[in-house]
Amino acid sequence: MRHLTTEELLLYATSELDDRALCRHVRDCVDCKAVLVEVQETFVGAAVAIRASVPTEPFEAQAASLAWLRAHIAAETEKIGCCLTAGELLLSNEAQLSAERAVHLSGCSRCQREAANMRVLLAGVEEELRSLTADEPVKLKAAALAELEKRLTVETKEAVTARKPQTKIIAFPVTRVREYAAVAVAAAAAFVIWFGFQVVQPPELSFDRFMPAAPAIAVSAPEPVESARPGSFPQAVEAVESTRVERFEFAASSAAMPTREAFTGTVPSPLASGSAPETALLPWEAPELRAYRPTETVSETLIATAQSDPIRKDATESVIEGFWLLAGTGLWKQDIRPVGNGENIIFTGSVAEASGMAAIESKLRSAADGRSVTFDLALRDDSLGSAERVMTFEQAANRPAGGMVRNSLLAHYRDAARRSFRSPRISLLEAELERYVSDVLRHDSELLAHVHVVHSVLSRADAAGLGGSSTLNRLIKFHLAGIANREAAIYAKLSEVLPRRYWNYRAKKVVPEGSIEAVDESGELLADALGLDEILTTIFVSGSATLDARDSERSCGERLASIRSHVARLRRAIH
Amino acid sequence: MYDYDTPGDPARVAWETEELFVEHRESLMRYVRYRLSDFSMAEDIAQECFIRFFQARCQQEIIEQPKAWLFRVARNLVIDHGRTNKLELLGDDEWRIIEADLIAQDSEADYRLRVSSLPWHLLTPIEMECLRLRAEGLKFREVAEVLNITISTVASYVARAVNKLRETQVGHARKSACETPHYRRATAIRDE
Repeated sequence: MRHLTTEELLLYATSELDDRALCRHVRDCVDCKAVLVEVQETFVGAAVAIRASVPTEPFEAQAASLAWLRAHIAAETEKIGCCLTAGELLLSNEAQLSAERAVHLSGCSRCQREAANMRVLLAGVEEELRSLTADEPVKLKAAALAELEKRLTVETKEAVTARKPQTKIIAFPVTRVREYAAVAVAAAAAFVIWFGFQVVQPPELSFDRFMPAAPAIAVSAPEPVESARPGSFPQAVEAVESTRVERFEFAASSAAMPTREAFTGTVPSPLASGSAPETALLPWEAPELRAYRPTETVSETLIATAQSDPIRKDATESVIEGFWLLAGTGLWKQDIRPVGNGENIIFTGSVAEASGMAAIESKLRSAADGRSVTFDLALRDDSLGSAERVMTFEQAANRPAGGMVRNSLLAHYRDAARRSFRSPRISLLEAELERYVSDVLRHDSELLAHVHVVHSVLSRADAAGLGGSSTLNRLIKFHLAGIANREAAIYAKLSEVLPRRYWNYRAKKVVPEGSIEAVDESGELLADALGLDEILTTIFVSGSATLDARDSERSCGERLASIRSHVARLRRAIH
Repeated sequence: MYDYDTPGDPARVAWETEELFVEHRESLMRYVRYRLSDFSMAEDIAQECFIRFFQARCQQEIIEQPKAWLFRVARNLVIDHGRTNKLELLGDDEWRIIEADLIAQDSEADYRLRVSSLPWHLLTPIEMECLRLRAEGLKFREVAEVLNITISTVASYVARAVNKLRETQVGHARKSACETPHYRRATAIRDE
């Protein structure tokens, strides 16, 4: 084995010699060791000389230097919390911002504004690039691109100038925008060539395949409608959405989590909000529709009435008339039910306020058009509802974040916000989520209310041996139309956001054939509506932190399909 | 030992930077002062290195060898400073004069004499640079990182520098030994 060179000995001295054989040799070779000592002595002497050639600083200078460094690091730390550079704004647009800067962006309104401006600017660029058709001369495209680049450079330089190092990053946006522009041109060209600018609509959003092609209700005027004016009777199919609210338009504070009271009919009546009947808000005009669910008081009253009086034909006719009056005045969602005795119609139930009671009585009397109408309305106790139920919903309101459905919804709204160039702030997403849940549950409550009326009316008519009178048919058609609309609205809402496995994983194709018995159909319809309500409540309002619709016996999609089927059969039965 | 590969929050990075500052500031300052005659400028550059380290770590830059990174930044800053200001970058000859002056002012003469006797003029600038960095405690791998050359090249330069110094030392030792009374006496006996 050869002796090591000086170079290898120096590497050996710092344990940086990779050759293990040479390392072993040094350990055994006296000559190499002697040379190593010499080399080390020389090196140490040189190193000492080099280090000693610069006088050491006094301790005070070192302490002052450390203090300076601390002060500057503190300043730099503040700068990190400073506003975003143009490059960072672009990165934020693609959700590639670092965690620290993202935290700053979420809390800084100025940066959010700048980011929005940047998004708008980019959107403008993309829009202009899209307008360049595929057959446009290349020179024109190049000129437009150059102009946009120039404009973007100027606007970018005028953007945030808070941080010192950003001068190095300024050139970055132009490069990025070139990429954007190239991608946008390619996308626009591909779009023109392959799709011919035809709007592609996802099949889930097309309701025509399960909605009736035309209103199946062939009824004489006045036709039923939910949104009828006071004094007039329902006209046609009810409107699913009374007012359309644009997305991301309100803050989270204004969107309260849906409470139990909103779906049980225990809230104050909308009619109670105005002192006079003409100024009172009707349910379809109210910002939030309140649906009816039979409270314990009314149910007991109805049951007691049904048990005490044998069902007579004339009394049933009075009840149907009463339901028709309620539908015509838009009060069918209220906690009021007609109880007929053949001579007059008795409206029994509860209202929240005395002023609301007066308005309801006035409205029904005017709609009765001379018929004998009496009222047995009571003021409702707002604390109605068991403590257990309230507690469940309190738990739901305080449910920790992170459920599958919740995450899925939030992700959807985040994407939607990005697509619409809105800031995907968590408060806005939460507000959208709450509004979504509120909408779904509102449609669900109203569906349940329609189904309940249909079932109770058909059961009573069947028990009384009442045939298909015109009022009965009109009433059932009105509520069936309402059911169809609410079912379509729920379907639209669910298919808009939720992955199909949460609501449609087990849905089957329903064939509306077989024997038609209206009462049985209405009973099954009621069972389906209750099942749907249970699943939706489980998905959206359950107190459990982890939710899975598959725990339910049947899926939402299956329930909705079944409801569609029953509605179709009932329509045929009514005809 | 810190895990410099993982990103940290500003507070943690500040703590890391401060520790690095305490550990390496003196050697870094010395290294910068080899090249700059202006003490305050050297101080500024040395501190700028640590600030840049802080910024880089806050931007989640991966720094495998912090010490080498600091020295490389310092070297680049010195070069940039020289380019922009037409700085009075000291050549090796000038430095030797200054070093000689500094040594002359020092009262501890023993190793100063050895220093003054070392043949710095025989070393090329790159050999001197490698030796300086190595003298500041950087390993060969780190020196290679600073100078952006291979580790074997660094070892070669340092070995050459050490050999030059060693040969001179041996010659000097022989010359000194010849001048001792014992040597003279011995040679006189031999001559007789």
